[in-house]
Amino acid sequence: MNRLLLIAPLAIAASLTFGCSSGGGDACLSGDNCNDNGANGPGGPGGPGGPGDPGTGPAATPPPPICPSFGTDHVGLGGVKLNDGRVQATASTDRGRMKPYSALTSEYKRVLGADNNPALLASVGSTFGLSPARWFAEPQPNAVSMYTALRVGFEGCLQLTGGIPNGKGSTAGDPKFAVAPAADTAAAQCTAWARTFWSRDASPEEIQACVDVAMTDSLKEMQTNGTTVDGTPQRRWAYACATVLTATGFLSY
Amino acid sequence: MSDKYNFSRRGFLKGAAGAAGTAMGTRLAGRDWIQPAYADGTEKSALLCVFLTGGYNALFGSADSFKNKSFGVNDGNIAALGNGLVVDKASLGSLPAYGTSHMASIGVRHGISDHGNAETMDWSDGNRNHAIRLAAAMGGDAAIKIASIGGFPPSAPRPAEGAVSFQQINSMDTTIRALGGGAPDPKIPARNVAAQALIRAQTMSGRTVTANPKAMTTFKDSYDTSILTLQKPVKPFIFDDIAKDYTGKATGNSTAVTDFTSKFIGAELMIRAGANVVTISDGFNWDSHGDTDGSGVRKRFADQVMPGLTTFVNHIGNDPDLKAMNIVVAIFGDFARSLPGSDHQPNLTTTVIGKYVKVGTTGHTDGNVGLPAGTGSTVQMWSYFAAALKVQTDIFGPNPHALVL
Repeated sequence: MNRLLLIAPLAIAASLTFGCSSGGGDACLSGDNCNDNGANGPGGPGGPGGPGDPGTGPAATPPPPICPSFGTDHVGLGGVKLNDGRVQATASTDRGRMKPYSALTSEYKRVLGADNNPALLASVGSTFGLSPARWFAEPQPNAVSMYTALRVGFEGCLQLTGGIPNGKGSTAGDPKFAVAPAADTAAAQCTAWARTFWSRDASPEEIQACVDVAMTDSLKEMQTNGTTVDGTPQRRWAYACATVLTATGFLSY
Repeated sequence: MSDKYNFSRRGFLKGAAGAAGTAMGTRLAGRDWIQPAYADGTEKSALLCVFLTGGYNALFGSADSFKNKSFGVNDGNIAALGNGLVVDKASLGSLPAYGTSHMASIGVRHGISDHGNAETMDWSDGNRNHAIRLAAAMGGDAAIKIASIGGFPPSAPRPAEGAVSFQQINSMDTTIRALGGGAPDPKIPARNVAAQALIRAQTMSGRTVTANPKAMTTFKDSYDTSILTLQKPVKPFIFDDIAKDYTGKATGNSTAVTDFTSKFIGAELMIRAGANVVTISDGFNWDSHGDTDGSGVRKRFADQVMPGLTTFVNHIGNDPDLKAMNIVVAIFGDFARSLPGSDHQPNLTTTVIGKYVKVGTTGHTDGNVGLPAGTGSTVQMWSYFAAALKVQTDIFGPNPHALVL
């Protein structure tokens, strides 16, 4: 046991000293050279300009690896190098994951405020792939969980906008959501929501998608009997808000 | 759970193949709503795979192979169904008449005796998933064409085939809502706006999904399928009407997905909603080492599988909506169990029940659980499924099992 305690810090120190790293991304993941947005902020792996973001311009060339080689060759019992045929992926790419249910339970509160607590979330753990105790299964989205995420987001956003009572029973909401969205107010609010929900700045196209929900898509709500009703200002804002919450910027990391 | 739920009208009613559904309530329209878009162009077909993770003892589908020798098989606990098919009497032999008169044992000589590889090859060719390929080939316009109730079959790759991807169903309540069901609720997004919102959310997610083409491919599939689901028109139905025969409760049935019975309910729900392929399985509970007299798997099958299976088979044989469809049930596992210790046998005897299944067997083993040389492997098993489903596209090659009506 004592030997293990001695070896562990040495191994960590060695890996820090000699471990191989790509030139980008890893530094951000470890907190160095990153802005206040963390991994998903601008420059982070999931953010604009980061390794996980193709951006809107030409594809960025990944920086060269710092180490000249990756690992030591080992020859197996059959005389074949174990590294032969191994596909080398570009570091810091293609590693997006869905946030687990355990994280989502606090994430909605974090971005919507503690009083805006969608009650639905408490009953949909299995839909979001909640694993039994002492087990782990990588959560994966599916059609049902994606729609359920929209429902959860919509309920929380309705509380935020005053469309339904929030966790404290108040329907006050922010007065600004009692006014129907306009192009400029929607763009400003969508920009703010994206920054808050995704921890990064949205692109103009992403903001426009949110604005389209607030300005166009939510004007008429179809009822279960086939009739339509006008969307109230609070509900229109809530739809836009829920849409931003149902994008990968919020649901993944 | 007595709420009236709504389903995709076209997808659901196609699935119901036209009868004004007794199980769906009285609000459903008739056959004239239904357009032919099925495997053979005439009737809706669907495959339910019941996968017993760990293994499926051949004592169930080839009982006489072990009579008075092994696995506790004797003259009193076997049932001869005809054409050489002899099954375990208390389980397969006790299914409703529709089941015993439309049952075959299919031999699978895959030559694999480790779980991981057997499961992978049961479900895939190592790259493409047989079940997803089949669901895609069967066509139709249901948004969710292939669903896994309560957990994926293990170990096999599951890449999408075109727009068809495996959708995991962990809760029937949220699934029913996604399909358009439930009482009006101001907290539920209107379906027309919800569809648009998901389209916009997908747009917002485009950069991330593109930058993570493998890791986040399920996000793309999920947006696509959820949008399609929401764009389908809906009609009401009553969940309790489906569940009551499984549970014995006329009202208040749970929508949780827990045991095999709830998974059979979920399977029927999804088939009625138009799914082409549905899979149900449980944990690694069928690796029955040491079960030399077969009592362990007999009890587990009786306790866990038979209640739901019996009702499901009864429904597909007698319910007007389901009877109008061509529904095939396949029961299989990693491999059969070997002798003497009920260990890993590198072949499998799969049980298949369906409208066009001819009673008989190509899965009759010898006394040591062996199958004859020349017996097909896993892909030929899927070829048989496709033949029984009357799939017109030859996606798995020729079917060597001449047990299709």
